[in-house]
Amino acid sequence: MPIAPDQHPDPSLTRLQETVERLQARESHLLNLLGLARDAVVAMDTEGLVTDWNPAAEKMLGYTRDEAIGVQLSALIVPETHRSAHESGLKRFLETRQPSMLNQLIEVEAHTKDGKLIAVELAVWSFPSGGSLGFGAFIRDISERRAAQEAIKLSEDFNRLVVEHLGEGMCINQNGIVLYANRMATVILRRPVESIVGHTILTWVHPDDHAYVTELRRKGRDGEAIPERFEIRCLHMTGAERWLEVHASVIPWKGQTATMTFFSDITDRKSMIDTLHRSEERYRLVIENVGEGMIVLQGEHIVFANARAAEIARMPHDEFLSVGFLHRVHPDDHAIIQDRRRRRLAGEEVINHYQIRLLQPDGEIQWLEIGVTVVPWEGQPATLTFYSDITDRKTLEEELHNTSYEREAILNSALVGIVLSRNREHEWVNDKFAEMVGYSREELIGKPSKMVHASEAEWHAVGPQTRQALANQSTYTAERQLKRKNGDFFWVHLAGRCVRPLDPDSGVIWTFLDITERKQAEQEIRDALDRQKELNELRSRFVAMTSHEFRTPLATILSSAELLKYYSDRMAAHEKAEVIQSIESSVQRMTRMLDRVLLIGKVEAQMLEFKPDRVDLVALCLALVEEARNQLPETPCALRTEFGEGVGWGIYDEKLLGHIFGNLLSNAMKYSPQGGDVCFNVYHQGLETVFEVTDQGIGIPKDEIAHLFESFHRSSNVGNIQGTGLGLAIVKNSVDLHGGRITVESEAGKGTCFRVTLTPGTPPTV
Amino acid sequence: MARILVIDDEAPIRQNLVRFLVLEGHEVLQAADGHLGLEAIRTQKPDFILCDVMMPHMDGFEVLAATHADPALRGIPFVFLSASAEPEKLEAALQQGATGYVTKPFNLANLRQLLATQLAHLAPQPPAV
Repeated sequence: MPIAPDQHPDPSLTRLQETVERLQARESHLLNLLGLARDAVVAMDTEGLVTDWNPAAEKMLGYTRDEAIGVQLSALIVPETHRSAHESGLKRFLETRQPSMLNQLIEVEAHTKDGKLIAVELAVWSFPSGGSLGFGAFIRDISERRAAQEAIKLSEDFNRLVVEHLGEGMCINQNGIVLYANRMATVILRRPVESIVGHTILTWVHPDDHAYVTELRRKGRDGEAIPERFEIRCLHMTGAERWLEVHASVIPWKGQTATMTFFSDITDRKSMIDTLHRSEERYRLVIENVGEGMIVLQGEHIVFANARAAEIARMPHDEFLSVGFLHRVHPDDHAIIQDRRRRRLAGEEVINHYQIRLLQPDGEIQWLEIGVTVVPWEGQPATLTFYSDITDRKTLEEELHNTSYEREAILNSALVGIVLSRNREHEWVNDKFAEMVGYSREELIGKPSKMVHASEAEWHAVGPQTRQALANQSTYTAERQLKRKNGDFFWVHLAGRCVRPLDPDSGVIWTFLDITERKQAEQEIRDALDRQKELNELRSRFVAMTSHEFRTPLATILSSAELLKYYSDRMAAHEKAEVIQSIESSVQRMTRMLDRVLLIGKVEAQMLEFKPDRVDLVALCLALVEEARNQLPETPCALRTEFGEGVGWGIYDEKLLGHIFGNLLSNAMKYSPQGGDVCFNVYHQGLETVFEVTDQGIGIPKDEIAHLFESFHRSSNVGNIQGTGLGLAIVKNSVDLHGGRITVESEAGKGTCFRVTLTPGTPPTV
Repeated sequence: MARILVIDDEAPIRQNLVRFLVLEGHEVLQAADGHLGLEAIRTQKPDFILCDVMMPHMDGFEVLAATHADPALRGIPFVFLSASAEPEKLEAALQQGATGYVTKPFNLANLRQLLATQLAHLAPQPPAV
């Protein structure tokens, strides 16, 4: 019947069970120790068969535990040369129980699996094992140290080389005085070699460790065992305290014994361990009291969470530890978290600070700000997450954001440009303003407002008055011309208002209304009025002119008629004939005048006709010159007509040519009251025929040439020279009907040259 | 019977005026523009001046102004011949010191009447009784 200990506890059984458990615990503890040992640990039974083989042994000697167990140790690792000594030693011990090498450090050689012979240091002990004896051995690889020692023995020079290049500091002391120190020793001790060699090591050993070192030295002198490895503190010349790990061994040195020590600086390692121990408690306090939630996640498990972590997630701590808060993450944020975690664990760069939402069971949305870092935790990577509740802040932010979004939307949909400026810089502009000036909002914001002003000079000029008005009344309005990015100017009505009353420095809100169209309309009206005024003036001048032009021949006719009526009996026959002739001439003059007025009426009504036909240019031109001469019989001008080679028949409208050159020739004479040459040159140039009428008269002021061909326009320098202001308008129209060109070169006081270019034979159809 | 100067750039009118005045028994001087007219005024010292307004180089108003600039010539009756029908211009002429104006086309009978009035001071005084 099986015993059921929980039913009938037998005190002896319980004790035994406790002992077994204690022993088992101890064994596993020891096993652990052995597993962790840096030295190879092997055991053998009285037969010399291996019974134990730790991981360090596997590493050092190359055989796995499975390969080694049950094999003769001597066959496995003891070199041939030592094998008989080993076996006889074992045999002798078993017979005599006299330890020859137990509990001593001995240096021998060992074979590794791959056939290398390594120097090892051996410590052997025996223990009872199942009624028999077991032997255990610590084996340490001292091949490097051996090599160094051998090097010393081999050659002073060679040995120095080796020693100098050791990674560890090395000293040789005899009778408390340092005889030799390698380069690394000077580096570790931060002392020049001359302050080490020839001095006692107490020079640089920390005073608190002097007693310990002195005791060690005494032991060495008296042949007592000294620990092979120990830690002492040294002092740098700067006073800094450093921890050294020291290996010491006794060597023969020039006939006496000396101590050789190898040492390395372990301060950093030591302080790290110290800090860890010391700070653990402190960290725990900090972590528990920190305002932020803190969790450590390893895989899917929460391995640590502070109290605040659960509190923020509004969950009981226990529940939190077992399930975390992932199930409370807002559905919309799930994907983000999963994706981030996956990528972080895959070693990708992931944003470590972000915000997520929790959806609480009561439907409330809670915002968390999260920071994540990967940390080692118990030797394994884990994610450390800090988080805090930012719901209030977020709500405020959202409200602010909404408000500014609404404001921005309103201001941007405005039809006027809006700018907030401070110190004459655009701090904010709306879309409309950017559109008005042709810059992007980014180009405008943060820049001085001079970029949109008509000129920098104007910007400087309007500054003080604007500021003054704002400081006095808080507002300022004006109409101003601004400049677009493309250099175009446009008019705006602008209005500014201080953000804080009467304080322009607090910022000024400007609105801009594009009034270009209004300004343009105004300008157009002004221009139209000017034109109308000009036209009225021209018309009245025309009226005066025509009145004069009609009244003058009428006066001749009437006076001639009355002379004949009242005085014919007292007049000679030739006198009467003259008077009658003057009547005829005056009637002709009036007829010509009437023709002109009618003609210009046609021109204005675009009713002038173009009827090209074969024309003898030479005959026509000569006739026109003759006619012009007859019209102004008293002209002091000399008329010359020249024809180029080949000028003859062509297809033109004879009537229109009459208007063109009749007018140009009579003008040339009329406006040359002081005389001079009037030349009429006609010649071919390529397929075109050029007609030039040149005079040496009063000329045309440069700025009036543009208006020359307008109806009723007469140059400002005509004085009392009669004219209707119609001739050149008719000329221009006639040239246009011919599809030709007319150009003018003139200088006031020097003369004028009209050049008409026509293409004969290819008249455009009208 | 008086010495009358006719200044007009329009030859047919000038010739008709000369014919008419000669036929009326006056001694007539003539000039074809303002400059020549002014020169004649200064050298010939006529009893009466009949002057066109619109002339090249120097118009009637300038001739009048130049004439009146000389105190010795200021008393000579100065009548404008004008092709303009604008009353303001004619009023301006009188303001400037012209003694009368005649608009073209003019009636010879009217002109004779005007001459008679303006030359009355030259007419032989009726013998004292």
